Amino acid sequence: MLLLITGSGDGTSDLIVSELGSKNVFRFNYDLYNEYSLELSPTYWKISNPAGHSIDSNSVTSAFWWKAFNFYIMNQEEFIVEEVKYIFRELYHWCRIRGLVKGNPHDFHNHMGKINILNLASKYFFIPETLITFKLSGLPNLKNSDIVAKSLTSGLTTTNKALFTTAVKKETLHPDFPWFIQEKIHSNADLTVFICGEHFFCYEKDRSKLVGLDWRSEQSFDINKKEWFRFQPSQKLLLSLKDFCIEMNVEWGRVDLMRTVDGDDIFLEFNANGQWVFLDYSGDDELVKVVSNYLMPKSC
Amino acid sequence: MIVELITPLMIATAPMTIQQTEPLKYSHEKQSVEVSTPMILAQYRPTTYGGTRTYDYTGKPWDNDND
Repeated sequence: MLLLITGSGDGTSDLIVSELGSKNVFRFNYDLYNEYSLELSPTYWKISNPAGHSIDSNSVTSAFWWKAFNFYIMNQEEFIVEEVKYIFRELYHWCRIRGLVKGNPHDFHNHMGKINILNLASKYFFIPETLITFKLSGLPNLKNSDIVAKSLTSGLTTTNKALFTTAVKKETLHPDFPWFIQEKIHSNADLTVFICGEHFFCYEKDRSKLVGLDWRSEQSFDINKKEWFRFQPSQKLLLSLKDFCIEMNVEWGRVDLMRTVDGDDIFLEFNANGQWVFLDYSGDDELVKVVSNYLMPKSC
Repeated sequence: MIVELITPLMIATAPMTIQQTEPLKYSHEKQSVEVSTPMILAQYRPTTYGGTRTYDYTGKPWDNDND
């Protein structure tokens, strides 16, 4: 049985449960923790939900962490929230130690962030000139004067704003703030590759109709409107992706790239837990089926 | 000429948001959210502390895609 550690409002998890069948999955929703009964000891654990469905340390065959901490425990003391988080992490690591986990840990990027990933990716892809700076140190050395500012964490400001990729001029950057700067890529298309086990699903999105630079700020939220189109990767791109994944020791995630007007594919970033359902709303590419089979192979 | 300096906070903008059309109803029996129409399914999102989330119910990201 798959232990799916997630949140109650997660649509991706709904699709996985639907595909695998509810009896084959135990969905453990972080935000609803107090609706479950749980016993966790050094030798045994068991969780049951109010409907009588349960999983234990003997019946679990795989485990998958999906966005659990993106949800919130409402109206609860921070101390209790931290205690609950500890329990969820402990359960996940029980599975990890036994080789049962699929995908990547939720805190993957705390150990491998954008700069270290770019360094590794530069062996296999073109990468943009990139700089993180305090006091604008190193900025004058950037070869390209056409630059963009980006966010490292993608966090929100106190007024709930996000720093999307934004074109900036070197001479206007305030020196008292941390900056994450990259050269601006003149591109025809955004590419994204969803990695699931041995599969590489490559998609592209035309940039010609973008007003700004960042596709995330200009999306249609109509599920009937297809925005990403699958393409067959070149042998060169496929080999680069495979070698990159081997060196990263990952078999799950999303690689974002850009295709330049000259036809070069530029590596932008790797998202260890990037979303993927939006790439295939129609189900034509059977992403949900492939993911479900990856999470719980038929032989289990 | 005096150049006005910018900060990361000054160039941050409000992400696109979607209004949740009805409260989420989770079923432990089905281990899924109960939704009535695909459109609603596409629109509902996790509860936040008044903040914007990083993706909609169906997983479309707009300000964050890793956790």
